[in-house]
Amino acid sequence: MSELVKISIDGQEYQVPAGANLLQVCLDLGLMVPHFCYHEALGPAGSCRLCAAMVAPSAEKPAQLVMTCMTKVSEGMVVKIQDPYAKDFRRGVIEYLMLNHPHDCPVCDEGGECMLQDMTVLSEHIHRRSRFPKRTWRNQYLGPLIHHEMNRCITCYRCVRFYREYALGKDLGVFGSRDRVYFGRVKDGVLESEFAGNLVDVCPTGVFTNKRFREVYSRPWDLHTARAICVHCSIGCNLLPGGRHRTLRRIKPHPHKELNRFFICDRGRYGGEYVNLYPRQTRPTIAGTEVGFREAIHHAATQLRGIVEQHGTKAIVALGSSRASLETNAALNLLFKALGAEPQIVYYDSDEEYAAVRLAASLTTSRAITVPTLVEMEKCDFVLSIGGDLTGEAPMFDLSVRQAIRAGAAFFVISPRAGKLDEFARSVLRVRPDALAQAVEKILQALSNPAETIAPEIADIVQALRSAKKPLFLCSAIHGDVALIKATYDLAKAAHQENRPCFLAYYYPAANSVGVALANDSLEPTKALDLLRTGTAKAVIAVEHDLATFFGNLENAKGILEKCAFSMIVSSVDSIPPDMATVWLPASPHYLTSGKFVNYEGRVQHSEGLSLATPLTDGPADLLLSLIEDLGKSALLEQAQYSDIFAVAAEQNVELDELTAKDGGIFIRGQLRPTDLMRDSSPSLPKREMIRWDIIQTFGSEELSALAPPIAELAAPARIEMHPDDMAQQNIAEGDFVPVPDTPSMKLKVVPNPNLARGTFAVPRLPAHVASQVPVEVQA
Amino acid sequence: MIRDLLTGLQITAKYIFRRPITFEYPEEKPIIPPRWRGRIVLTSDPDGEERCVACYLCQAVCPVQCIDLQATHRPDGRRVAAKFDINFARCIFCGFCEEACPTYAIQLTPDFEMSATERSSLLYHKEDLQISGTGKHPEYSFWKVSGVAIGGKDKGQGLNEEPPTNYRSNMP
Ligand code: SF4
Ligand code: SF4
Ligand code: SF4
Ligand code: SF4
Ligand code: FES
Repeated sequence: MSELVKISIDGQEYQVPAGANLLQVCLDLGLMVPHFCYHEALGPAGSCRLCAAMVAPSAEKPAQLVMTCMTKVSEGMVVKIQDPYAKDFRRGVIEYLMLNHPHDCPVCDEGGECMLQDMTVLSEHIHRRSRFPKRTWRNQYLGPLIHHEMNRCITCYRCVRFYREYALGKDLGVFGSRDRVYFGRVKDGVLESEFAGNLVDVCPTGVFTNKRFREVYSRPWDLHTARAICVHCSIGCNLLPGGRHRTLRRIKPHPHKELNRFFICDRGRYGGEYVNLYPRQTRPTIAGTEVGFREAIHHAATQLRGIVEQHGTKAIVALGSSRASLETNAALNLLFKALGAEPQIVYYDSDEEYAAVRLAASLTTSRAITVPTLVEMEKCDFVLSIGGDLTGEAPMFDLSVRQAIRAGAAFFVISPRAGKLDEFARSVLRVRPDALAQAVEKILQALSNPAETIAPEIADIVQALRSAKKPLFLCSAIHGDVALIKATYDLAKAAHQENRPCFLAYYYPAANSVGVALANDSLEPTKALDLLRTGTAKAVIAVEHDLATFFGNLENAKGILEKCAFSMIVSSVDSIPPDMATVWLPASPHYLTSGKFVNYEGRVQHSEGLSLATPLTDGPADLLLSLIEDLGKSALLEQAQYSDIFAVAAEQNVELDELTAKDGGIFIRGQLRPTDLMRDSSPSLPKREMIRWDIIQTFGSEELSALAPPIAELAAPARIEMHPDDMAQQNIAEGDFVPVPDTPSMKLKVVPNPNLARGTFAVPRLPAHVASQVPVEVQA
Repeated sequence: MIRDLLTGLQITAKYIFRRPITFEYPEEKPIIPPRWRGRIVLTSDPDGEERCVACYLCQAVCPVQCIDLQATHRPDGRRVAAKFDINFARCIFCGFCEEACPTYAIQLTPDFEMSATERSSLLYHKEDLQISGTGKHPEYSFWKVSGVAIGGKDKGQGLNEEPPTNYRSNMP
């Protein structure tokens, strides 16, 4: 707690923290001082001159007109916001800012949440006196996400301060001088930053607006909103989706004081648009024939009951989902209970993912490691990113690391392929995917044996780590590398000292990876596959899980489903043809249904659903519960209070030691013991000359957002990357088509990438079936 | 008593020879002042194009919420209403929409003859509301004063606008 000082504002006494920014103090107290260039995250710039007030250092001293955003509070300060002189000054400033402002409000997408409108009214500038011609500008094409309308600029510099200083982007700048200042790119083109969408919120006027929202524009006051959790990665940013009529119109960040404070990534902002297009088959089907929900559910219940009676309690295999809520997965568990069958549920697509995610999640939820919030990450002075590309795999980690870098943190990267953050790294260790763990172990050795001579390539890392006050390790649990997760844990443990907290955060493949990892009963994917292949299991249920991804491709999925006596898909995206299953139950998608998600920290967050007039009303959990009801087991439902997180977790067979409510959130603590998992022999990868590495792209690799048109437009084309030396060695030329390792039926064009570890094929990870898309239509 | 009777008859007789003040409506039409608040129309620009820019202000101000619209863009860049519905079964003819409209598109007219036998026929769509004339403000054209470029009007070609600034120039 900083010390408090007493100041007077407009005759009223207040106790405020010493040295705080006067403008922020006023805003926090609810005293509206007009301002533009000041932004809580970006700080003051003192360029708009609007936040003026009369300030005297003490009651005896004369007051002066100062910019409150550039002033720190001190004991005895006397502030007069409503002083006539200051008011007149502010009115004058606004009048100047408005000299060239176009007459656009009726067709401006900022209208209704426009800071310029608010500040103009607040400053009491009522009437335009200037009759001079207005200055005009040409707009630029800035890509599919952002619309540019430069005439409306008031030169507050917020955009470039966010883009260049905060997000460390390069391709948006300010040009010109005096009253000819232009904010844009050197040339028309797509903005490169993955955080460019935040310009929409940062710009106080309608210069940068949401291009997708513009297509089906509604005033913000007409939008239904709900506080939701982002599903597109494991960070769990808080969002405020807005919808009207039948469609989701836009997504904005909902500030969370420990996670996304003001900003979100563009995947979160624009990825939710998939809910307007999916599922395309909105009526349930039985073997391809459309039926009513009741009939389909009754059919499924009868069939499933029959299978259990005939083939025993082990005849059903279910695919749960790490991108669906705890409630959905709990309902699936409950369904097994209602059927009297043994729950055989698989959440993952590969054994490596199963092992890696469960180990990382158990380390997180058993508190073996200290997991930082996004805000805590920003304050670290040593950051080591291990085994993944933050920008694609956990976008907001990237933005937080950028803040740490700005504050002077030493940043290091160990990864097989160059990412966008590499340019800020003090040093980069480029290692093959199968040598990542060894590289981390080497650092551990060097750290624990100070006497030894350190290998030159890790010397700076070890040195910086030794002198760091707040080290942070960020490690990917997306590539299924158990050895790496263990090695990173050992390193973080070794680096942890009495007087020096050491942070470690793993990031995961999906929004609820940690939540489902806590389920003790989950089946290993290969075991489930064997059960289905050998015909031991007679029925398969897939809930929010893409079967084509699970079985490798669509043909395999088809083969297996045909072999089963019964199959049921409950899903909000019909990425495989619904008629492939015996019963298809379309579910209302995320953002329109509610549920709880557990993020990378083990934080349990509730996502509310928007209520829109869509044809589907039931989410996957509701559909499964109706199925249970149809089985005549409603008593089970009464036991489970789905609003109660304890019940949800209990349904998932998670034994909770405790749920800790820290300031700002509920954190789950599971009983999964990391030591048990570490003893499991980690599947040692076969040594191969060339090894495959999945590129996780910010746009296009995540299953749901890849279905959204603007994200699909930004996705890089499918390709296979190789190191030029490897290409020369193997006589492969640029543009040749090479079979993709592990998927030999697919051939991709080779692109040389010198920033790739030798011996690696890098291939973008793409959802198994990103179907051709139907354009959004506003339904009247 | 006789006197009272005669007085009454006298008054009756006086009114018998006066002209009647009732109108023979509907054969005979009343004269309605032009600013009467009756049936709502969507007027056109002086150049004959749609005037409404789908700004949602009328929808927001309407106290009975009888206006429902959705914005879209025409290929030439103009923002227009994809849908514009007024439910006259609900409208109270307060005229707030006309007051709020920044483009003079929505106007109330002296037509009050809107009775119907079915509620659904009182839901007017955009094509029922649009008229080809400019109504009360024959001169005003929003797109000419706004800074947004549309087909046929580039940046800097609006009223009282300078040509687009060249920020790369060093000239004073
Ligand atoms: S930026 Fe604000 S004031 Fe300017 S035209 Fe848009 S809504 Fe109006
Ligand atoms: S474009 Fe927006 S944020 Fe940038 S200077 Fe202009 S008004 Fe400010
Ligand atoms: S960082 Fe992750 S959780 Fe946050 S908005 Fe982006 S995709 Fe969503
Ligand atoms: S206020 Fe006028 S311009 Fe705006 S939507 Fe209504 S009719 Fe159209
Ligand atoms: S907010 Fe203080 S000068 Fe702009």
